[in-house]
Amino acid sequence: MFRFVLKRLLLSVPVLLGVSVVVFALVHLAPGGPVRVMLGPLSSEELVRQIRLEMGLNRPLYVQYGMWVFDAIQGDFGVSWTVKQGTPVTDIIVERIPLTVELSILSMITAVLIAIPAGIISAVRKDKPADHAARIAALSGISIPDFWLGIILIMIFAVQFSFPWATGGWTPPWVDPVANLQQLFLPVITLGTAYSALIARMMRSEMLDTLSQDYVKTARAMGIGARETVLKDASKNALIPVVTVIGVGLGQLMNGAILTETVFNLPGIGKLLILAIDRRDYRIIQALILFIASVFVFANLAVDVLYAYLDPRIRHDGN
Amino acid sequence: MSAEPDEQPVLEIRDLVTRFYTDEGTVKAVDGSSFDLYEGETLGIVGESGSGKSVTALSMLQLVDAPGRIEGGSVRYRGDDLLEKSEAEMRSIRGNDIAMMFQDPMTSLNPVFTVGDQISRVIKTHQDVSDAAARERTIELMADVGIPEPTSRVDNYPHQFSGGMRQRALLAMAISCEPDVLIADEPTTALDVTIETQIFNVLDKLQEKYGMSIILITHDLGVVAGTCDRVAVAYGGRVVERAGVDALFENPRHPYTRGLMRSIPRLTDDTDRLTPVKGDVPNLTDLPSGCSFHPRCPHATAECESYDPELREVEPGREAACLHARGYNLSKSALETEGVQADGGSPATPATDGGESQ
Amino acid sequence: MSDDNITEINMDRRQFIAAASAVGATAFAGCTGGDSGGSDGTETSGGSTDSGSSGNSGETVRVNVALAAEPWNFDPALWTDTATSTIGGLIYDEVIELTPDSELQPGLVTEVPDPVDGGTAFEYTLREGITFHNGDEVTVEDFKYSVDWILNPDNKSPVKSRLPFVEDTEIVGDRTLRLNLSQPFGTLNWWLTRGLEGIVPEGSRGDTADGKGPSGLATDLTKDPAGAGTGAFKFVEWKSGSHVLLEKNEDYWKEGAPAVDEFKFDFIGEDSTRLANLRSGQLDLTDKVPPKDFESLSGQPDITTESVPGNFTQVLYVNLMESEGNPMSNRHNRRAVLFGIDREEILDEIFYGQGAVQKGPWYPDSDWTSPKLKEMQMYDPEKAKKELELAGNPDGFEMDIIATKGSWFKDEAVVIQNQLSKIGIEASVTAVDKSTLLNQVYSTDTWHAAMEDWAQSIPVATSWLDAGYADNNHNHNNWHHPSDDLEDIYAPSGPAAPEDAEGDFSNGHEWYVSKLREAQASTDEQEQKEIVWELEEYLVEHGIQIDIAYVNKLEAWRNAVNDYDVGTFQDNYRFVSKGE
Repeated sequence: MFRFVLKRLLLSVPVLLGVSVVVFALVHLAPGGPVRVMLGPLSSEELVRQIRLEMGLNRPLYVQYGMWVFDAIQGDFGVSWTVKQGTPVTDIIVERIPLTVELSILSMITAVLIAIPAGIISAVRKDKPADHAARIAALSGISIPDFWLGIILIMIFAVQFSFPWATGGWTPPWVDPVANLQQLFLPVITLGTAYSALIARMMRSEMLDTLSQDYVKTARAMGIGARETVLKDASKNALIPVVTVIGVGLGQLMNGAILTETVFNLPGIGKLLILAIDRRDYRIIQALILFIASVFVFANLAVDVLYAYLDPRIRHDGN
Repeated sequence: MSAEPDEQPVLEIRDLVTRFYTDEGTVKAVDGSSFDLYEGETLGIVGESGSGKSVTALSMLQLVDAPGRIEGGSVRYRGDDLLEKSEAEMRSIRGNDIAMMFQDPMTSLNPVFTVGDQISRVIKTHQDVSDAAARERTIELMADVGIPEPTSRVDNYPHQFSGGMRQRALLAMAISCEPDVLIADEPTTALDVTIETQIFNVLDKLQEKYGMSIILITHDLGVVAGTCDRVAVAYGGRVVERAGVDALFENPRHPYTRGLMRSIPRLTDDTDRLTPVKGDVPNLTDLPSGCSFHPRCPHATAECESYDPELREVEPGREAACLHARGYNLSKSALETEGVQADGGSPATPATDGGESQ
Repeated sequence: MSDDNITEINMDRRQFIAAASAVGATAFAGCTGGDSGGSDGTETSGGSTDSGSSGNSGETVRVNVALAAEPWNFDPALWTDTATSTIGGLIYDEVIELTPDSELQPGLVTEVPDPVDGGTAFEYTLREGITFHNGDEVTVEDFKYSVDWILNPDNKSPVKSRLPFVEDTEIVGDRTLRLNLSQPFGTLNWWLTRGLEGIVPEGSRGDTADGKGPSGLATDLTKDPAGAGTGAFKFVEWKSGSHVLLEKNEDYWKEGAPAVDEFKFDFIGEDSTRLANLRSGQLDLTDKVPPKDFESLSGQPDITTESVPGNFTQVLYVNLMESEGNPMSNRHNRRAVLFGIDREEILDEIFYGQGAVQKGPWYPDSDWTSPKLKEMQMYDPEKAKKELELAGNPDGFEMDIIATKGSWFKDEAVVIQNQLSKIGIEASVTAVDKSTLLNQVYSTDTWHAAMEDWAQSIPVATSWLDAGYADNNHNHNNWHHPSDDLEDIYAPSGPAAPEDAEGDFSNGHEWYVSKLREAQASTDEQEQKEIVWELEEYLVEHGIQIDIAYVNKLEAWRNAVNDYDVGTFQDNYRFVSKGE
């Protein structure tokens, strides 16, 4: 196991490197740049040129990239040009990570708490009304765009019912858990919905599969009750692939958070990414995408480890 | 072990009917099956796939799930009709008094729990013992079925066991609560011949040790010959012949049985070709009228098309379900009562024996 | 986040000051943890607060404002956008202020000076008794430092271009600073309202950020201006992506301000979210109300709305330079487009009628707009068709319009596309992001027309005619005349100078710039006006740029907010109070 993890960690380096190259190229080759956005369209060409010189934007791309990598390895991601100008990029990002992480985790937990039982019930009562209802709900959940849902929720709760949710901003849960929950209540519902639908569908299909397996028949034949076989025998097997989906999805959630954060005005990394792209803040974009890519890579790795932990067949194979 | 027909059977199955209601039609999986299991014997239920043998076994334990339903008949276990019992009552019988083992050892064990856990669990379901005691008993059982190094292998996962080992583990699970009856559904079909022998040896040993009556479901006549005391031949969802194993092999009365016997290649044979039973296994949603074997039967007559023969004694200790079986003795008048046209016995569809490949 | 801790209080100023001393401490306590609410009503210490104040004196009054965009920095030498200027205006004071009625008023100086020395210098005298937030007195050395820093080219301040022709400063009295100009420039004071938006303590900008960051774009004040302002409110915190929090400056030198304890600016980009928060009471005030929501907001009984003429226009830039497939280099084609656009329709369709159709670059009602243009019918399809004939393509032509994504530009471009197709001009519309569009327009010659808006913060006609037109290397319409510093990517473009032009001009642009400088140097208002009219007429006659309409500024606030002064160029938050 240890060797497996080590190997994967080593492999992640070229992956992340590759990602950073692609992002670097894309973002620098796109037309426009941070200076004009920063200074406003009518600043003198002279000024723009001087500043670009200082920023090193006139140097060949590979040189710029090389310098970036050199600094990045030492943990220096530079200073932001457009967001709270002059602030170190790492500070800006780190300030916003906790929100997105909390949002993602809460959405995930909510999604899972709804989806797993729903999937199980759906499978056990296949083709009965409960199943149909659950499947329709799941399909809707996946089809509804989250920003639309978010806006609708705002309109209903905040406007109609004056539900006391915040204007946005984020109070850490360790400072004021009540405020924190108020702020995240609607966003978690929004983000969690599509996610929960996905997991429920997956759980249902996995359960249908495992419930038809021979080992369930054997258990029944040995006198184990139907409920126990559903909850113990079938579920544990069905959960394995679902856990994979959940784990990988955690990485995806952080990205799905972009729309939700925008609609609910939450200062997370999703909103930061949009801002950085708009203002062409190369430094932030590079660092942020690298961060997100890393999250993905490690989420995948964690899931693989978890998978091995849950499924004894994989565990022994790996060795 | 010879059969004692005068004793009260451990299991009496009468006219068991199980149907599956699917979109493609109603599948008559078990269509009036009847047989008995006597104390201490090994009863073989033999037939091709599609003959309803497995469903019969499942029906006995009320393990038939939607879209299937047990529609009729009775399954008396020591006088008690199992089909009238509640699910809770059945739960305490399954694995405890009557145990069943399924065909494919590779898939019959749950891959994410240890073998020991799975066996112990059966014990703990039916007996009020501590975890430690259950574990001890598990190790004992594993030794009993011939799994080497049971103390260390008890914590292994199924994938760490070979096929033969897994089947032994399943056996251990099945006998863990010393059941009266063990139903083994094709226990060695998925295993190779050498392992097969070992398994049957173990079965034999266990039968003696625990005094079990065994129902052995198989399509392999060789296995039947080697292990069973009595045999029931299944076709088209019901039993069409019952006899002691020697009697059956020496002198099969039902044309289907005869066909089966003939299709077994013998070492002493000189032929190049096998002689299977002509035709196909009937579609259980659309059974032929009258005798369900008649389209494939070389001896079929006009009556066979319209009269559905029930299982009747043709000799003391044997039954067959064929109008033309020696000893069946159904008089013409009895036939007429049934409304069957009896015109003297010219074969309705003269068929050629052998030579026709499937 | 509830409003429970924030009370509507109705007190007069005297009572307020008495309560304030006790509340001040609790306001600090309320500031930690950001959103966790204002003070929790701690008891006032000592008995000095019991001066018959109505209501509960232990709670913080805070105004919550929503801005659509996040500010860039808080150094008056470095900010160029309105969001920052709004907040900055509370932290700092301008040297010369612009009132919401677009008049000049002295800020940190004693009076608005007239130019001296034939218009080549201005002298500004600081008021007495003004202190920075850090407690120090404001001196003329601080004044000089603040201006010199901007003028220093090494600092690359983007604000420098708002102090045109200012060469250097000198201290000529113990509180007087003189700004020397390289040429007469009568309207300098108007430019200063946006050029000197604050005086900071000497040395407070620190050394310009060395190494990694570009100098001039980050100083010590950029993210932490605490202590450096003189304004009605002090900087407390800035949470990127979330909000800026300010607290009142009790020693503020103006009467009547500050009237509340705290100001919080939330950055909420989503229109619907902003409005929802306003409706439900989470927010007190927001600008940039989308036109389509204005009606319904006005209808809500607890909300006040206001619509004033705005300082931004919808404009179609055109590429004057000759290039492959570019129909806009032909003057008649440009005029065809100019007369082919129904500006009323655009105003109605997209802005719900909130605005005024332009007749040339300046406000149609102002007397700085040429009378001739006032008479002109801007939408005239017949005239447009005639122009097409004159251009040599009577059946029309094809052109590309690029528009910035987001906002209403694409919609406007589509309406225009529709209108132009009626006279035979086939326009294709592409939406791109702002940075891309800016790049196209200012650094290439491969575009035809671009749909954008233009906001000007200096309410002087000449500044409008300057920005976007005059800079030879950098203007909205690729309009260039030959000169030594003309960059290689550009070539001279545009029509010839007018026949009656005095002097030898290589083309219209050269003439235009020269005339403009004349106007800016002049100190005679009538003279200035006449030149301005001439320039405006030239612009329209040759279709140098296609101006569409001024759009109104739409703002909305809850009834409890008082004394919020909205103006075309300037909003004043300083005197805002909150109470029923």
